[in-house]
Amino acid sequence: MDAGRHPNIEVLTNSELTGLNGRAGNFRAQVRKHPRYVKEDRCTGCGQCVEDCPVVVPNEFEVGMGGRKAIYTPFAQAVPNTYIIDKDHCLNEEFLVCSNCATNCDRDAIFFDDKGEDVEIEVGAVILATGFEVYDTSAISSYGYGLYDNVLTNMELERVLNASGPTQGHIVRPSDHKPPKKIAFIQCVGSRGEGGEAGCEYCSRFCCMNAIKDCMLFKQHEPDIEELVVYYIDMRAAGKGFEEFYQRSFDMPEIKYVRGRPSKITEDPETMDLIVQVENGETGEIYHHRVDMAILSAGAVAPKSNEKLAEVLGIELDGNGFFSLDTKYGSPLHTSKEGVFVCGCAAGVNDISDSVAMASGAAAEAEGYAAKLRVEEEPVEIKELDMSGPPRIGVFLCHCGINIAGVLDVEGLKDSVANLPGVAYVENNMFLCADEGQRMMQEKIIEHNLNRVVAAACTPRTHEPIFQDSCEQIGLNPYLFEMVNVRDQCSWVHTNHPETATDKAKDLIRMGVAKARHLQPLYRSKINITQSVLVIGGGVAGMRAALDLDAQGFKVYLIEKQGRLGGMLNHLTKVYPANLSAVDLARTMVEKMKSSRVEVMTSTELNSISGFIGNFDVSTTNGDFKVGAIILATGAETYKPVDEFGYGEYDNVITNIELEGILHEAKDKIEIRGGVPETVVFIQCVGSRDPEKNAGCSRYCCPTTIKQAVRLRENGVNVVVLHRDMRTVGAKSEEHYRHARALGVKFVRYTPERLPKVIGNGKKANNVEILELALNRLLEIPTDYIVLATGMVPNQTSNSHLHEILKIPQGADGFFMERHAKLGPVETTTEGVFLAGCVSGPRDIADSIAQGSAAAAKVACFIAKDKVTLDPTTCTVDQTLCRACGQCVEICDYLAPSLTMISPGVMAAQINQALCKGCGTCASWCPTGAISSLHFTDEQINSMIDALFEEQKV
Amino acid sequence: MTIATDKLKSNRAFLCLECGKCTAVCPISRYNELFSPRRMLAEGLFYDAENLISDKLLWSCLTCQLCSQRCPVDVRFSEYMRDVRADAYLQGKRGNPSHGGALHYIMEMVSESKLKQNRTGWINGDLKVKKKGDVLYFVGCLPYYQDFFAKDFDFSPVSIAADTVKILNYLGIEPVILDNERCCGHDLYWLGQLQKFDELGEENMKQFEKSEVKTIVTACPECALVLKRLYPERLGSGKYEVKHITELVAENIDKFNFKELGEKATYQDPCRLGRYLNVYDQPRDSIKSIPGVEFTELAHCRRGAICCGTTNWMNCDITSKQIQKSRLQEAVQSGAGTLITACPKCQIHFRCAEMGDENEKTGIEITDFVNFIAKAIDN
Amino acid sequence: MAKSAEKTKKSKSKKVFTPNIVAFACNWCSYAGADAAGVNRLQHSPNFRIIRTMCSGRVTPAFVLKAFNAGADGVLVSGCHFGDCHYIFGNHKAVEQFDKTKALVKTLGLDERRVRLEWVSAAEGPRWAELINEFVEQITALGPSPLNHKKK
Repeated sequence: MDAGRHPNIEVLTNSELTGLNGRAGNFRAQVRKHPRYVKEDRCTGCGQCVEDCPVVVPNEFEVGMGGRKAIYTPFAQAVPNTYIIDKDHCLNEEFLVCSNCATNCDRDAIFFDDKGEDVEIEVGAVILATGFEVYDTSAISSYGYGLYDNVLTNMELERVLNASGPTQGHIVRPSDHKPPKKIAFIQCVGSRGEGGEAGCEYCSRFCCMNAIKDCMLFKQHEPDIEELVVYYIDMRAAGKGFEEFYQRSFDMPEIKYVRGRPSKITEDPETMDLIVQVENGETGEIYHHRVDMAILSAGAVAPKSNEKLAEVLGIELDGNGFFSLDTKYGSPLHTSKEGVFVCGCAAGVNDISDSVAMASGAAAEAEGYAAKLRVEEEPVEIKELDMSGPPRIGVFLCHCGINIAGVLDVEGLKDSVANLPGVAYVENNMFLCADEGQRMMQEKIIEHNLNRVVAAACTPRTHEPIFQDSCEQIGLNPYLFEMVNVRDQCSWVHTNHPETATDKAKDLIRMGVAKARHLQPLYRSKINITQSVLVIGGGVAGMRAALDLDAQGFKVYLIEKQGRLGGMLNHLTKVYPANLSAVDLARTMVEKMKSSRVEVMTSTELNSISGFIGNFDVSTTNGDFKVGAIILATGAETYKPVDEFGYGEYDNVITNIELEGILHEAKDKIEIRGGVPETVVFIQCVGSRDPEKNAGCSRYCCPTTIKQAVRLRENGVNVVVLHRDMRTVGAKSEEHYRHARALGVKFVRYTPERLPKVIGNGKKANNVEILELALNRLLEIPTDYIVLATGMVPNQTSNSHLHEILKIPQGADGFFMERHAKLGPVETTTEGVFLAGCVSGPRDIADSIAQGSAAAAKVACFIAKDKVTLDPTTCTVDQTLCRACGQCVEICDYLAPSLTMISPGVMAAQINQALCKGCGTCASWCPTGAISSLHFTDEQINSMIDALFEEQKV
Repeated sequence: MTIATDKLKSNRAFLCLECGKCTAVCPISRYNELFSPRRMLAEGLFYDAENLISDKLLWSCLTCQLCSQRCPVDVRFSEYMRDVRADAYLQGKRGNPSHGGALHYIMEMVSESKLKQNRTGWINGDLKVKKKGDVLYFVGCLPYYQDFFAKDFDFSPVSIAADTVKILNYLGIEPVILDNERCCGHDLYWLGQLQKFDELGEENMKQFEKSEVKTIVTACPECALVLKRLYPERLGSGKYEVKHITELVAENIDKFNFKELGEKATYQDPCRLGRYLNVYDQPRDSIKSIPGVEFTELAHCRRGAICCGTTNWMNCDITSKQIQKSRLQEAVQSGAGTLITACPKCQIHFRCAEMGDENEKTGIEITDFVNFIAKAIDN
Repeated sequence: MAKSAEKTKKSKSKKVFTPNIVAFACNWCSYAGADAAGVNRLQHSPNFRIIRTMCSGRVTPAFVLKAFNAGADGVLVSGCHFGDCHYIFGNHKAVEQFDKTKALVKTLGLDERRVRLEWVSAAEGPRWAELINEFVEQITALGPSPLNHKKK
């Protein structure tokens, strides 16, 4: 919706890229717009066309579980909301003459002869966001998908669980439509090497969390469910808050996790129950588990269409059909072609929050090429109409073809409105939102000196901006317009009760008119913006953000506490997945920083920050300056083990970070603290996945261990990795894990109830004792060295210092909280302040780089202009009424209200209009009524309640 | 709209000498120079209150009667305000209600006789109450305040009700408590909603009559004023006597065996109890009779006491806060650690005034007379 | 569907009670969910009137009490699911306000089932339709509010 409505975004759906000429910054893209057979400029999305379409075909969006017509919209919130004809199924062929849709359409929008169109557009850069497709589970015959009714994929289940899905959220098993009591989830279907040719080597990353979430939803929908069993190899809850979510699922006794991949599923032909055959990897028992339904957690595969697109673009695909990355930047966003970037699942599987961060990151990289194409808005001067005097309200009733008029008695509505207080003019119109309708409305406003306008039509969520624009064009303040929804929430949903629906519409219009009587003009204000940025922290994320912003021509200040740039990179040897040298990467980035205009201040600490979006005053130990935006990229720390696994007691127990330094120093022979190792044991999850120390999964440590283990193994060292789940979820991680096993690295699982025991004497550890689960035996592993894979924890001192200065909320884990876990991974609740890298949670180098770019893009979005326009529907304080009780300050998550001294000894609240989002919660908390939520004032809402009931009181 | 001559006669507005003593003493005028009882009276006398009716300041008067106390000719300014407001109300004019008017809706809602309320949930097992008897305890708004304010202000309004019953039980009285008591209507009376006030009054009087009680006790000065004086004025007398709890405790002070408290306390005179009902000595005598309690007076006390800053849940604003702050300051300056008030509303307003900027808080303990007495008899 | 058609028919014979319900819906989720019910033509009872607010946190106890005082038989407050609030925690604040409202409604002697706080997302058109039908049915079963001035 946001993208569809954005003035700078033109959405070309149903279109395909057929050619790309020119160079980065000056591309010419050829686009084939496939025929839609419905004119976008005429279709209002009313849906009359659908009713008499005789064709029903399976609905792709419902994974074939529901039906759709041959003229349709793909799903409810599709953008644009224009219908499309599926020509493969439409009956309007030369020899058949069905044109029911065209007959039904009041807007002449149907266009059977549409031939499509070829267009050429000039672009600076290209971003590939082609996503993924779901693995075709019918390729694995042993699971019986397609054969047994009650075997579903995770995608089908998603639709079934969805309240707006084909079953309205009711879970029934397909064979007999009874609610299932026992369900099995089978993980890694099509992922991690399953299925020979058709399978994939990689881990699809999203399916573990998806299964956990679906189990929880199942339980919510069907409280008397008996059993939800997840069959898995490793539960990969690797992402911010994921492990905590996984742990919460243990509170539901119905949900069980069994380590084991089922060999096959068979069906009981009588009951249609399924029998899942599986060995419990922890107990060795073989189960023939009878369930009502089995869900295959199908993995992600590259879309077939990537091949054609790769050819058009002249870039390579990797062995899995995803776009290849150019790894020399250590960035997950660059392809081999300059000016072409990837995000989301285009170059491999990613989860939502990483995909969103990558999307913003790709936008930042693209802006580096497209910044010169920025368009300036031209200010238009319009003389404001005289809005003073008592309300003279014009009410315009839209028929929306037969959508409204076919149900509601529109003449009756007109009569009911005419005598309402303040109403000066009423008119009905066939299509009020169409150009003719809008022009008529404008003429009547002027002709009748109307100073308030009410439109009874569809929903304000889509159409209010259109009507407001029309008002504004003729000089009527757009906030003197009120919309009444008599279509989506009335005629469409009470179709069979025209009389009661008309009564309801009368009430709604009367309420709208009542509110209109109390509407006040509001004015958008503009504030100046300092077009510069402060980046705090000189690690990869911070440097990436600084470089991207510099490339777009913005002034950047970067402050770093340490004496040199590079952050964590300075302590690392090689960076997975491409085995890039950390030193080289750091050097390249630092060189780029030097040649950029970024003002770098090392050995510099932050003193204070005051101000708000666009206008922050920064004070550092190295001078004061003003910026418009702030990026926090201060990173995290690795966990310091205390009296764990002999660390500190034995000299030969070290952390993975210490090993990293050792490997970095090592030339041809690897020596650890003066000795050449024969055997090294890694212990995973030290300071992770432990509610006492750090509840979350640190995500980076599994791939890091693999990388270190491979390096040691390649040097002839015996390596044993003791782990709880190997969580190799990043790009190419699973492949590396497989490679490590192929090299002979051993992996032994332990459980948190039975931690490995380090045994030694004097200053030396000799053995690690572990309960090996395959044979359920105590295993003693003699070893020279033990490496603890330490987790990542927030930098407490720095974070609390920043929290004090900027008031950004910290989560229970001590990391900073992003605005939205999925959709706003680099934004904070404070406008103008952004996060990048490990400051918001554990991340690896590639993800941190993507986040650096993402934060840069988000900053560029608003500092590209020297002014920011503020929405006037905010909250304001009448200071004469304010008691300075401070409740508004406490309640606001955006730090908009604050208490100030307005005269000696007298405090009052004020609300910073630049920070206020207009939710009105402070107004509802304000005990005295000093705060008004503009456009939704107490007076306005109260007048609606009064209007609703006033007729009934008579 | 002309303000009726008979009203100006009955509230004695015609007698005004325009001396301005009222404005000089008015606590609102002290912080808001736009507010002047003298000018407001003149508006009614000479300009038919034309502007006054639409003026939001009309709703700011606390009806605390400090001005009437000083008026040389006994102009009933509070009653004058009530009369102008009644006219304004009929014209659809309103003040700025606190809490979005929630409390006013409650007052209006409970006038509906069909409503069967659940307002006696606070009566716990230790408290002895009866269905029939000679003494009725009129609880007032405390159960609503419990729902509305307890969480925000970290105090329990219904503890005042519970402690009132505890004191009555201590004196051997098992009071009758009506399941379906209505709001007394005090605020609606002063806001000029006299029709609603009468409806509420009739509902209550009906129940009083049915219960055949001889004495009604209340722990709220506003309820006391309404039951003692306003109902009889508008709706006729009942066959019962009305007492505020401070009066009842003082009458029976010999029967109390207080334990030592060791506190320095001061007392806020609620306007309705003091200037309206002339109850000044009873609460003081009771407090002083508790061993170990050192009693100090506020700088403004008794007849000259200043209101807690807000009445009728209306126009509670920056001026109200300043009045409250000055009152709390006086309490601190008196050297007391505890400020006792005999009105639940005073307590709510003072607690509200303690919210906000940390540096402005006085931190003084605020408690109700009833809670204080109950604490002293606690065993 | 057939069921509510029957109700409407009966209401014309003046005997059967049709409730007045005020529904406060937040702009971003619940109002959009009600729109989604429309887009999908999900028929539901017409006996409610929506008042749109930007956030469920905007809905004060006063609005709800005012609606009852004016004669509403039921009041619905609807916002975004936890974690989905457009204003981060506005819906959590709605819960705090609603707890007060509900306590007051109970003390005042209205059946507490007359007020409800629900979460409906922008995609949950069917849930909105179901919720409305269910709430209308519940309020119909409870009968007119003692404060319903119409008392049909």
